[in-house]
Amino acid sequence: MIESKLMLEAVSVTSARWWSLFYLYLAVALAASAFFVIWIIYLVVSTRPRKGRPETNQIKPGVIPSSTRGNAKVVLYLVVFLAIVFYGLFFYTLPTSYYLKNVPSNTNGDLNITVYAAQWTWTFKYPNGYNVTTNALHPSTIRFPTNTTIVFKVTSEDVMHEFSIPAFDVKVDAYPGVWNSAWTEVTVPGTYQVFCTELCGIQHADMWSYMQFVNQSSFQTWISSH
Amino acid sequence: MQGKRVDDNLMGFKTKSSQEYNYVNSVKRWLFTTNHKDIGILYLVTSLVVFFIAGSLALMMRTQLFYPENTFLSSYYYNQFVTTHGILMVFFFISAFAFALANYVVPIQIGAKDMAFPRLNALSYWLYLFSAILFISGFFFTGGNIAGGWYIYQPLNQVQYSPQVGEDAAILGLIMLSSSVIVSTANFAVTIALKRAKGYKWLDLPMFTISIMFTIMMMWMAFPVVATDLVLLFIGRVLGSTVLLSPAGGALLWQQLFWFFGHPEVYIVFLPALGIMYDVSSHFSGMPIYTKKFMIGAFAVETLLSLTVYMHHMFMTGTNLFWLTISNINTMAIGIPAGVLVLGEVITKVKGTFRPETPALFTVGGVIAFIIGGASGIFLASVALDSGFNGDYWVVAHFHYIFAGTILFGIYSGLYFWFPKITGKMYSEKLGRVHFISSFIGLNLLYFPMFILYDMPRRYYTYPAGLGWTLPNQIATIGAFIFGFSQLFLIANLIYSTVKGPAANGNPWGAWSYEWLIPSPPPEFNFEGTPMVKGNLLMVIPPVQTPHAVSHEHASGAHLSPWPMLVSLGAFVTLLGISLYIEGFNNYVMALGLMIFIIAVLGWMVDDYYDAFPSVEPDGDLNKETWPFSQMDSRKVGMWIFLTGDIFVFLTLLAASTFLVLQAPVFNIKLIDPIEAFPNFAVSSLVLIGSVGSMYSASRGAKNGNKHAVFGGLVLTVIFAAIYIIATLSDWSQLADAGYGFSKMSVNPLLSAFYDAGIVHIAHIVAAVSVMIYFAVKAVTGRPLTRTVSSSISSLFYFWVLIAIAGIALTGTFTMV
Repeated sequence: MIESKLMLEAVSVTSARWWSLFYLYLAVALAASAFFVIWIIYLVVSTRPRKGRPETNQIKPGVIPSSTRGNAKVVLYLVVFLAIVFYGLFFYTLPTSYYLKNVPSNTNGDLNITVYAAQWTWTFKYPNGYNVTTNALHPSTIRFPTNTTIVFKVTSEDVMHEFSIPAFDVKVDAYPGVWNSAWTEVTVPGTYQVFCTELCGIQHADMWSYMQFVNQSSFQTWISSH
Repeated sequence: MQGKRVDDNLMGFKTKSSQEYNYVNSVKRWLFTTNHKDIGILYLVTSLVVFFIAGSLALMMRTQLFYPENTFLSSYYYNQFVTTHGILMVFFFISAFAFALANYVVPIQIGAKDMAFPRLNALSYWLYLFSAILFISGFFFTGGNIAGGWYIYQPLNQVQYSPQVGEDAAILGLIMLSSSVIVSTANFAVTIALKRAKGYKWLDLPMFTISIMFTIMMMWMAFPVVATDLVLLFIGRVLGSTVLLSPAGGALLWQQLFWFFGHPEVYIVFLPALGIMYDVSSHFSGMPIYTKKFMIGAFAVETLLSLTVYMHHMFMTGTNLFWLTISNINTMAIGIPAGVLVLGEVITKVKGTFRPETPALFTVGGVIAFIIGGASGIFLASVALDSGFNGDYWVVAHFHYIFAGTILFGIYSGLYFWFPKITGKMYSEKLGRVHFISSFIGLNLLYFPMFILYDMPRRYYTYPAGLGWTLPNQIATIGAFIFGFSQLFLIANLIYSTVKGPAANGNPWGAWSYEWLIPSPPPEFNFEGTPMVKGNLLMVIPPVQTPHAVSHEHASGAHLSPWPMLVSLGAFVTLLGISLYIEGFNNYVMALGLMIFIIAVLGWMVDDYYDAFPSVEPDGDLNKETWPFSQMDSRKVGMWIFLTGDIFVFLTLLAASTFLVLQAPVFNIKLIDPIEAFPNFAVSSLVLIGSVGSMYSASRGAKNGNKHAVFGGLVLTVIFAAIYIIATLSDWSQLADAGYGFSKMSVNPLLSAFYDAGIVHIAHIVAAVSVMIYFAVKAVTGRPLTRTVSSSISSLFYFWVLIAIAGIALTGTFTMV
């Protein structure tokens, strides 16, 4: 079963936080954009040249137009308005940024997966030493447990890649010689995709794979058979 | 369609038919011109050609993405197209398009007869044209063109992973383009600083000129950095330098160095469009700009902040969250002046009468696109939300709304606005409106679906079915064709109206600034007399002599020069020759190019030796407003601006070196024992310090008119420079003997940084020394030490001080390992 990528509901703890933040931004963005777009169109239409409305023209050839037009307070209000919107969003976002970016410190129940990105495959290494290499052209089955904190430690063996699981809003760059981490905890079992989202060469578009998320006991059965 | 008729004789302006000024309408005129208006037209035509090439690449990519698993383009071509589309649009089109108008309009708007350095202006154009040809020629080399993304991330673009020679040609093209921009930056800065009409206050200048001024401030910091990045990359590809391959974070180093350029670049292309939209809105609503002073302040804040936000391109790099948060704060901060500027442009229309003609319509479309593009950008500024967007189509939608929406529409509005001025003909309003409406519909059909593709990775040449990506992609592709083909209305309009359009008078819009007070098209030297601002009146004081005497002084075609074109041609052939040599051809092409280059440089020098090319407007003209640079002439202002940029070149090298030096112990990289490495360090440092002294005496001598001091000082400096180069090369050969030669760069990033810095530094010395030899010859053969010569020699002194400091600082850095 393949989930549609247009799912707008959360399937992991990280994407739950991400979506609630996204909807807030979306509400603010839509309200503000709609207001300004409607205002602009109204302004343009209402001030068009037409009968019964005297035509204004304060621009005279060869005369520098007055630079004193306008009210400084309007600019001030605009600055304050934008600052409140932008920094309101910023402060509201801050806890989520830390939540997503701060990988939880290791506890016993966590699953640590080592991910090697290479042109143009993903290699997942499980704690028991089991390695799976996969991409769109040579897919292999990779399974992960739900309701478990999973930490991905990511590096690259050649060029830069980006480890990205859009369904969980997990994303981190893979550099040669550098280890980066990302984490999530999936709540809904299903099949998701991992993509490379940094151009990495000729087969960049094939550098993706399905990931199966199953409940913990099925995962244990699967992993212990390898 | 015509607006108000304006009396052309207003305030002492003389009307003359344009035929009188049509000096040499020939191939020679277009090849050798140094007139800012001709160069503006050349820029315009060239940038539009680039636009159509880059646009066709995009249409082919959109065709490929119409179906999942489509096979119209292979990934081999798709990756090349996606990369070259980005680079051509960002580097070769959008800025050049804006600067085409700036070239034509800015000198007239400030009341100047030409740019401060007309030949350098021509040089900028020809370097730009040939760099575009060189870049595009990359397609014809084995393995094709550059294919590693427009921000050329490392290590993918190293020769190990991208061996195609076309990429070398493309990088050389980009380096050439950067030099064109650097030359142009200094030229515009000097022109705006020193060539304004007397009495023209900074705050009274038209918004377009003001926006160009802030744009060049960013350009003179950003472009030297990207030029250095590309030189590091090229040396890496060709000589095996591994600075950008270092396991100590070479890939991350590139991101820092590239985005330091890359983000200001966004504002570099944004501000001119905004400036145009302000002026057009003001004219077409008949209202002065709303709180102009505050809006200029917002431009200034935007310029300053543009250097502080680039880390928001690097939210996924694993960099410390603290720094990412700082960048998030800065990005929100830069949104405030941006928002104020765009909304201020709209408020300008309030209470006016909005005449919905084509230029004005494009400003409305541009602002609406900005609201969509800007609002979607706020999502990306958030560290948290970016983990769902980075590298995906939401980003593509966001920046295309800004680039292809706001910026392109802004410049279009300027193009229609100034079209009657440039051609003397009125464009077709009908075609213009069709162009606007079809472009606006195409734009939204093309880019809005990409928001729905928020989780589809960028730069995938194909995508699987069943993920919900097909329909949005198909709508986007249809939109792309509507958008693409609607640009043909523009071309049709430009060609048809230039040939058959109704004649336009000097001021069809009833606009206020200087360009509208002179005939369309303007005469060769713009003004028949001296522009002067009294209070709030723009005036032209008629010449004291008879008009005929003036025409003789600036005889028709007097400022044609073949050298800018030939210098650029020489550079082009040389760089093409280098690419062919890498491809495996013999090096005759390279030799031929060098020959053309050297002959052209000598030709330029010979012209200068005989002072055969007088400035259109010499320094020290009391009819010019030069505050706050009254104490400096154009050469000095130009040199200071160039030096500011050059400081960034050396800072880039220093940053790369320091980065590696600091990382070296962590990653256990060793240079070699510094004492052993630089046996001549003491000698070369002393020689550099000594040469500063001798250069100073030459500079003093020039100021006092003492030819012997000039000659002696210059010759001594050249000798010191020669000793320095010999000492350095001897260092290098001893390093090679100790097993640390060029070939070892491939295994030692520190050594690579050392040689990279050395090569760039020595290139600087060679350039400076050639100019010194020229002035030494000029002084000893008895040419007069004019004010221009003396100011050039003092400028050369500043340049030399920078070279000396950089030499000691760079070598010093490596002794700290």
